[in-house]
Amino acid sequence: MLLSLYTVLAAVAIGLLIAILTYRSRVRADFTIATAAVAFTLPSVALFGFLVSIVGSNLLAVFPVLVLYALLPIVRNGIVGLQSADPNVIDAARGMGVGGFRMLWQIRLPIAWPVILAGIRVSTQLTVGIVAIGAFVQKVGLGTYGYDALDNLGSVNTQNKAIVCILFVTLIALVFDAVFVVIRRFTTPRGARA
Amino acid sequence: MPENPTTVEPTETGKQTGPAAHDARGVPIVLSELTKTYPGQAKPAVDAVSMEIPAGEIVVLVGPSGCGKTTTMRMVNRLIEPTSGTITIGGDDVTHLDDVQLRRRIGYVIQQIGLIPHLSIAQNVALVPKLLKWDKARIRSRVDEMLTTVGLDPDDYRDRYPRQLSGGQQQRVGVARALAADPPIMLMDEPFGAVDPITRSRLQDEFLSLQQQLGKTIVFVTHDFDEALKLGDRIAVLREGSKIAQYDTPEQILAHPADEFVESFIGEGAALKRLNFERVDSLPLQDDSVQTRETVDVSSTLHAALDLMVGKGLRQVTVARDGRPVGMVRVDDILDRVNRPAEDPTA
Repeated sequence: MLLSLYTVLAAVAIGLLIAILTYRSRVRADFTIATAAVAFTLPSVALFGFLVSIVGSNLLAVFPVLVLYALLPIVRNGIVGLQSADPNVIDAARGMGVGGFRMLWQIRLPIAWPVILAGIRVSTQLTVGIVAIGAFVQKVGLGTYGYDALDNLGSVNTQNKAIVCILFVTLIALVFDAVFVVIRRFTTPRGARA
Repeated sequence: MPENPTTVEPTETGKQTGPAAHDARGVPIVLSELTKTYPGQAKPAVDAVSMEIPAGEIVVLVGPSGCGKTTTMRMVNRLIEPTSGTITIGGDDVTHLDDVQLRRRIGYVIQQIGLIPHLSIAQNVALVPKLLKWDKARIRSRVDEMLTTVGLDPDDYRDRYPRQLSGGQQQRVGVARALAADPPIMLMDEPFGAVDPITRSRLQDEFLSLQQQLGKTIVFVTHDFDEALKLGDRIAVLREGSKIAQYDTPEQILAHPADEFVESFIGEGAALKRLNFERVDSLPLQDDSVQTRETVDVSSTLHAALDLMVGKGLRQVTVARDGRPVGMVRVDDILDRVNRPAEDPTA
């Protein structure tokens, strides 16, 4: 669970940075989204295997992969969100002397926030699922039960362990989701609520 | 850093003095040889425009779509950087000033208003004062003052959000926001274009009476010639490349259009439109002993008087001042005036 949290935090930091650096240019934005989408289609097990062959069987092989997957929804929603501000709102604000940084921080980001948050939410769900697969590399978290279950196919506890894995991964995903509902409720400016 | 245009002490309560008491009056704007050529285009969008916009007047730029009127206006606050030429505001060349700082001293209103959706009405109006780092108490009293000025009750509207307001109300907030930091000049790009005709007419009337108190220098862009006639102290009729076809008072443009282009822009009914610029009391009033069935006020336009006569099938109406009859005006008097304008001895 902690690993999921770190992954999402890292992905938010990196993802938003990428979004902020690319949203202005259509070409760069499209290219970034496409690249993230391609990275997303790579099978996680293969990527884990690839990194294990470089850094060995430890968390260093797990974390970058997790962050990579968590990135796509955040980058995509970040770019879409930042681009979504009504051009007239931007024009009026610019015309009254709102400068570049203020425009981003006080106008574009708050307008994009509900969309960005939705991206982070999807990203979190994904991460919780993939962290479980990460257990194949390094025995952390609930994935261990799933790993054990597959490792001891046919033994008395196989089914139990599999069920523990599934139930608790689902539970954690739901808990995170509930947290997001609360975050959304308290961080969305009143005027931006649909 | 430019000085704030006002010297109001934070402790002073704006409500007591009213907006006219301490607001900055307009300053003149001079455009000289102002040109904008977009990259990759042979013809300039704005071609060496020179014009003087006198302090405290509403100058309307009017012309067909694509003539460059909006581009011309947007060069004044450098939302569009001129390719060449200069702009002076109140005698200062602003062509090379810091553009962000410059814009905080210029009011800006656009047709689509562009209120910031996640900020309350009060926060929207406070936008520029905040940028100029006014203190909180001063901002708060200024916000209330401006909302009152545009006819919105602060207690009712302060904490609402833009989406909860009608188009007309939003545009009032747009005007309040543009006026909040008390800029000496205002740029308005078809500000009343997106509201229904009744609301538009009311907003225009209110805008005119507001301007009478404030005396800002206003550059107003529209494609609607009737709006230009109604609002403009002066009208610049622009053709392609923002070239000035005629720059004069509405009365003069109607009476003496410079060429066919201006004539075509005025459209039909120039003679009738001219009646809007003369009041009933500019005519020699006839003896009021004759009883008529209808009455107009001395401050009515000749247009309104004639409209009343045509509508009621009358040849004369009574003229009243403060409700008391002071004379009578006949259809013939008005016809004489149209065909022999006071300032035109050739007729």
